[in-house]
Amino acid sequence: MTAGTPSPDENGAVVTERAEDAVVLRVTGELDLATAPKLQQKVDTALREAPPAVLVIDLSAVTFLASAGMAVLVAAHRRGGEHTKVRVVAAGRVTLRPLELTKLTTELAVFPTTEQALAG
Amino acid sequence: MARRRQGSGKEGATTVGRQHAPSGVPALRAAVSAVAENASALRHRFDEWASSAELPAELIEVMSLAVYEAMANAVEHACHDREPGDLRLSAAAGEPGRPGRVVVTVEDDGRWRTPDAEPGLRGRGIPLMEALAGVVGIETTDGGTRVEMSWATDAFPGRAG
Repeated sequence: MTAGTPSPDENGAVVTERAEDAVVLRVTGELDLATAPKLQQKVDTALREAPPAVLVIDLSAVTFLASAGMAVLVAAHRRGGEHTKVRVVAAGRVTLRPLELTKLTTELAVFPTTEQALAG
Repeated sequence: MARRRQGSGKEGATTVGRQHAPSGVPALRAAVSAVAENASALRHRFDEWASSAELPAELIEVMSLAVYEAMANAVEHACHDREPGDLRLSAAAGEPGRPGRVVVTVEDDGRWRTPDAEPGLRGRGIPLMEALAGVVGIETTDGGTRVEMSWATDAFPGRAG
C-alpha cells in the first residue's frame, strides 16, 4: 500500500446517526466496488428496523465515487419508496461529477449539506 | 494520426527503445488478480503514475474514475464461476504513435457480462466510461475483454454540464 491510501477498516466506513424520525449515514473515503457492501448493509439496517421518514446518505467525506456506490444509492431510493424519503448529500466535484454524468442528480434528491437534506 | 517521416539519423535514433512521456515518466504496466481490493489499489497506482507524468489534476480525476470503472467491470466478469483471472492495466502518455494522448488499456480474462435483469440499478459503468473518456473501445473475445480509452493530455473531457 502506498502513502495516502486509507486503511481498509476506515475506507468506506459508515457512521449511523439517528435524529428525530431521521437517520443519517455518513460515509468516509472511497465508495467503490470494494466498499459499497458496507453502505448497503447500513442502508438495509436503517430501512428494516422502524424505517425513518427521512434517510440521509451523506457523501461529504467521500473521496471517490464509483458506479458500484451509486447503485447502492439508487437501490436505497427505490426501496425507501413512499415511506422513507432518501436524500443524498454531495457537494464536491468527485461525487457530483459521476452523479451528474449518469443523470442521477435528477433521479435522486441531492443536497449540498446535511442540514438542507434533513430540512428537505 | 502522426505522419511518419524518414528523417535525419538523429531523429531516427530517438525512436528506438523505451517509450517515455514528455515528462520522462515510463509507461505503467501492472497485472494483478481480478478482485475488488486489487482494483482499488491499482487505481491508486494509476493516480500516482498520472501525477508523476504531471498531467492536470482534473484530468487525473476523470481518468481515474473511467479506469476504475473498466477495472470494476473486469472484476465482475472474473468472479462469477471460477477463480479470478488476471486484471491488467497499462497507461502511457505521449507515445510516438499517439502524440499528445494518454492511452489506457484494461484487460481481463473473463467473459463479458450481459446487463443485469433489473434495469437501472447497475449498468452505469460503461455509460460513465464513455462520458468520461469520449472514446472507449471495447473488444471482447473468448479469451477476455480489452478496453482502451484515451484522452488529450491537456483536456478535461469529463467536465459536467
